[in-house]
Amino acid sequence: MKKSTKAIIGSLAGLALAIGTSVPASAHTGINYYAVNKSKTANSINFAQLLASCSVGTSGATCTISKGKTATRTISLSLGASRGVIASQLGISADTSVSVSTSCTSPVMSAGQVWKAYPVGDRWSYRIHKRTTVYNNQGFVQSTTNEYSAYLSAFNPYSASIHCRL
Amino acid sequence: MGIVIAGALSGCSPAADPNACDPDASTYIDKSLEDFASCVQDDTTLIIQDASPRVGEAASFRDGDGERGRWIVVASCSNDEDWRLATVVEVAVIPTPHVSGEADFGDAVVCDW
Repeated sequence: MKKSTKAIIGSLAGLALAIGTSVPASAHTGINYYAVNKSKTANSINFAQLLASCSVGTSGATCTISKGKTATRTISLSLGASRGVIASQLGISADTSVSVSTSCTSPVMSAGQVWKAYPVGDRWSYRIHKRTTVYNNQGFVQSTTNEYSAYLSAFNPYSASIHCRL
Repeated sequence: MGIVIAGALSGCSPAADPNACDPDASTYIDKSLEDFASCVQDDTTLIIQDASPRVGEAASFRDGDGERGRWIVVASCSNDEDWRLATVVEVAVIPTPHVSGEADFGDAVVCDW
């Protein structure tokens, strides 16, 4: 079971009092980050991220985008929060790349048309809550400050789905 | 405007062994797309051009299990000197029983990257 630092310090202080010695506790500051006001939109297409494209060399031909493509998992940050912490708060991996292995075939194309593939995934909206807690040298909370970021977004691509269009 | 959301292909192919494949991609002309594609790395983007109109057929290629075996390679290009290790490989195909000698496929691939 997780035990707070304050509780541990309190226990140590109680123990020190019982045996007639003192345990010096140093003043310190604790900073925690939380992703709050979270919402997720599934099957979102990230048009800002072109995975692959093709145009045909034969009028009336089709084009298939196949095999491996790499999509990028984006996580916006603010207030000094780390990617790993916010990824954990959103319940997604912090890895930057996602390997996408699906294919899509165009309708019949003519010269000049371009068939494009985009990643599909979960789009998250959230704010980052930064809580700064100052402890005095007895381990008691001296002050707490809360800061909130503007709304941010993250995109978590699926490995088995892409969106293709002309 | 055509729009497709593709699902996962069934099955899982093993990683390609580049040393098991000919470094000269032109040796795969008139060979099956299945053989050619097996030499492409799993993380490589493979672009397949259905060049059927050049042999008088309507384009009909649909990627999937078993489909690649009945299509043959007529042209290819890649973004790396060694096509087996490229990150993008483009290939033009026609259906069997047609063969590459039936038309000029010199510009069947675009290689625009």
